[in-house]
Amino acid sequence: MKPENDTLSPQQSLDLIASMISQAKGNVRDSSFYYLFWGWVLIIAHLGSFVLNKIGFEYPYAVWLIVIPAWIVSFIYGKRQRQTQKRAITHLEKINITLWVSFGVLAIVIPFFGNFINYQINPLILLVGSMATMASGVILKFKPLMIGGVIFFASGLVSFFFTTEQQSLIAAVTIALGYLVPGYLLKSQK
Amino acid sequence: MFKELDPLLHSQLRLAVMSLLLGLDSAEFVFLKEKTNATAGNLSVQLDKLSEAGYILIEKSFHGKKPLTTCRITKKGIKAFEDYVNSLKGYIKS
Repeated sequence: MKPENDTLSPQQSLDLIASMISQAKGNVRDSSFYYLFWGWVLIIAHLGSFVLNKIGFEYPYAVWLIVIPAWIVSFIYGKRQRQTQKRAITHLEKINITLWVSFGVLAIVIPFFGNFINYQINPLILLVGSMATMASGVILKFKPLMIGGVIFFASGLVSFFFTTEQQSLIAAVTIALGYLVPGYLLKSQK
Repeated sequence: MFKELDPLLHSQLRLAVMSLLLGLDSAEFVFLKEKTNATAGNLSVQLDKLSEAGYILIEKSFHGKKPLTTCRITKKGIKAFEDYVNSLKGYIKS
């Protein structure tokens, strides 16, 4: 960049603005790690809970404790990324992060209120997940994720008609189709 | 009648910084330096000017032992930028 005293013509000013704005825009970080990582963690948790239920384990939900180390891994990964990658956050990135952190908090809190909602935890979380997945798809302008949002929505509604045990299976399949597959597609795109 | 262009924005480096920050939630000093190709000294001086005018907010912190400067545009900055662009439009049309 030339010294600041250079006089700019109006056209030069506009060109400079346009070029800088496009520089800032082209900064969408590769977020596929989170989709793949959380996709697998949640599928394992749902399948684990299904299997433990089947074999009559007293606390099948204990398998959900794996989300604690998963949060820690996610957090450390995010921190490392911020250290090594380009150091600017776009508004959309911030919205996307807030969206998923809010979803994460909700998914942790809702189960504690299960008795108030007849333990229809899985359908509820799938439905809220459909909003987050759809919104992420729009933010990233990535159609497979938007379709994923629709899949979450449909299976959220459908799973009301099934038992908690069956809901785990439905959720695992939903996450695989609506979250993991888009995650892999997102990764292959980069 | 031409509106006068904000002298604070009508400078290459400061305008570049403001345009970058406009599209971002926040950006670190190193990022701005890389994108504008400015020297650290010059950039630092220009950032201070923008900050004194209340156009940007500068946060200084530490990341481990490394000092970390993060900048974000303020509402006042956005308003000034919009006014600047509107004045520019006047020049371009004529």
